[in-house]
Amino acid sequence: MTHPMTVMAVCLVIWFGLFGYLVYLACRLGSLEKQVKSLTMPKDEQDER
Amino acid sequence: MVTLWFVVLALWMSVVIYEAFSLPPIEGLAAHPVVYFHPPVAMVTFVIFLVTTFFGVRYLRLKSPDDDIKSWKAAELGLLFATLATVTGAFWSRVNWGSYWSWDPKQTGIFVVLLIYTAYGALRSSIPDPDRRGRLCAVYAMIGFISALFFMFVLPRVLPSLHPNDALIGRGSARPVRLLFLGSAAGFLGIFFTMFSLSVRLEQIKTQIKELKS
Repeated sequence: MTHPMTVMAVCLVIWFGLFGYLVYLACRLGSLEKQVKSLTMPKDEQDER
Repeated sequence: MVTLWFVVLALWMSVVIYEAFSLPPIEGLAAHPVVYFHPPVAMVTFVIFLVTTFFGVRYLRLKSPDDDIKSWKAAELGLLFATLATVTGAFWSRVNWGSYWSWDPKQTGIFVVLLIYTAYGALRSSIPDPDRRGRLCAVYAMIGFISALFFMFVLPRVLPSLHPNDALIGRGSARPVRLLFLGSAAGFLGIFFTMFSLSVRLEQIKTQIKELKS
């Protein structure tokens, strides 16, 4: 018989896994937004930086 | 703003987790805190499939590529939530019914739903033309949603099933149980909509980068 605590542990792992995935999506979005900014920035402005 | 929303969401779910473990056990139900996890996730899964269908229908009417992306991303997240509902349900079933999988009508139903939405992904990746892909996937999403409703809500009510229906949000359950249950569902809905908006935005940016590089 599976112990009730095992079931709860599985739920908690999934709960935190979802949050981890959320944070991953936000970080990936941030890095891609930076990439778009650098691609759309005029070349002389990039050199200045 | 995004960070603030993340904090609110994390706090909300922390309160739900804390309360889930501190509320008294429900009579006749082992591993009772799962009540605030498995059924809300299953409910949110169907809201997600409804969102998939909604944007699919919108794509058919307006032909906006954004609607196609939204329908696709919702289907992906729906598959993720359906998998989570199945896994937690299987563990809970082991504690309460004695086995992980017993081909109960509800379990068979969710298995078919998982197959339907996995096939959606296969269909999507097999069509290179964006407009044809969008149209076919939208029609498939509509048929898939109707089938999912049948397998999850009609079949288990027609055939004998161990799985209870609406037992926790009905008037038979105590008020704190009902409130926490709905609070958990709201939290998962919040998680879904945050994931949804982030993944749609990610896909739009990926397309933008592709266009800028070409």
